[in-house]
Amino acid sequence: MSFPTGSFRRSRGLRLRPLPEREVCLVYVPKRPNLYTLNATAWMILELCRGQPLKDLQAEFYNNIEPLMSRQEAADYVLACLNDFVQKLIVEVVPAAKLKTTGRRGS
Amino acid sequence: MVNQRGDMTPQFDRPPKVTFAFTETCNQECRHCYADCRRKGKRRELSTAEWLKLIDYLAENGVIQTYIEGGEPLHRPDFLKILRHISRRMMTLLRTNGTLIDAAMARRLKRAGVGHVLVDLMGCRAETHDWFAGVAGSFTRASAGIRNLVEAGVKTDVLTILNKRNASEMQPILDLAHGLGAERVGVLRLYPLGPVKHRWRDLALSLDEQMVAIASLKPPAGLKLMQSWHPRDRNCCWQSATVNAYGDSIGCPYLREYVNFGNVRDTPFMEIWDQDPLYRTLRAGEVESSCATCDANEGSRGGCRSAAYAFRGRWDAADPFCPTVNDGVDLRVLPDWIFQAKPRAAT
Repeated sequence: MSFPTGSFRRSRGLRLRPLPEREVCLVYVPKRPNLYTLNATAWMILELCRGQPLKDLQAEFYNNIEPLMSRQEAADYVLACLNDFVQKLIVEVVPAAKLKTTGRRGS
Repeated sequence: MVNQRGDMTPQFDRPPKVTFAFTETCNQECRHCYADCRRKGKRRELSTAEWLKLIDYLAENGVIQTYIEGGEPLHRPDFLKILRHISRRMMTLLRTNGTLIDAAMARRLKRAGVGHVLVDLMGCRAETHDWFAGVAGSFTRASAGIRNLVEAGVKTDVLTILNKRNASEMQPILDLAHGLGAERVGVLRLYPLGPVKHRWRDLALSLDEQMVAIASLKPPAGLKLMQSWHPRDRNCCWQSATVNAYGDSIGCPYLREYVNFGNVRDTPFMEIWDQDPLYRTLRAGEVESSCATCDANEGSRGGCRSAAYAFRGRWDAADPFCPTVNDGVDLRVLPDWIFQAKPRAAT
């Protein structure tokens, strides 16, 4: 799946519970009640989701993760992760125009 | 790791998950009850306001999941109000006998944001299940409850407790649960708690018989089987937090007769969590011996602390429900001290 025009932000009502003792983060999605466990890398990507388009997110993630991943690996990882997040309602896709209009940012 | 207090360091600073043993009232009269439930509570249970305040406090302290059991949670008229309050901020798992869940209640639970419902079935037919439930018609109502939940779009599991009287029905229970639309079946052990310990001789299987029963199960395609015998005998105490209907902090529902770390009416829960020495020791997960295979699969050591204490009288003993570390403990025989009103092993 690709998200050519959308921007990404955390879904409203989402609750995060970091477990630094285990290097994971629990995420509760009340909209479709479920609890997910994110590993440290997925957790980082979720933290980056503040209403940016895909390319910006991929670049930010690469800046945080290199040299552990190549630029392409980082881009692929972000895409796969966002796909998973959107399916699980952890992240929502917002049309760029709407973000500009409303000025809303992820919580 | 030994900290400055000299005790073993528990793994979590704050509990991510809490169990609410929400009520000790019930509409059934189960022979396998661990809580000795009645139609009316024996003592003054936490009020609606007290539960709401506790939930807010726990949410502020990082709790993100609650497992709600009883008694029968739906037997309390304020349950849906409590559930709605929890589900805004925490994943909820509800254990119920299912008999009070008609189609309308299933939809109400869905709207209230319940995450997952687990319904007890003690047999694959009315004769068996109703004997355990102590109320005729329970099997029919529980089965309908499961169907109603599934139709309302609520994720639903079935739980059953393996014992001598229903061992031959384990596979049919799996098949029945699958047919009703359940996603998983959890086969649980029989614990010597509440009235059931007085029927132990009639209900308890040997460990060999239990292992054979578990090994013979073939879950239908699409149904997940959950079990806690070898190689999946876990020590849950490292993350366990439970508050019972009266506000007592008891670590785990299976420890309900052995410990009381403090009451949340008198002491803030986090103070109990931080300061009770036995609670801290249990959460540190140190045991004298354990099964390497179970350790590797479950990421914890020594198996269930309640079973270890019940059969061996020591908190750091190995769980005898795992054949690797059973060392000759006959699970059909209970120690005499278990029958005391407040069971405490001789030290």
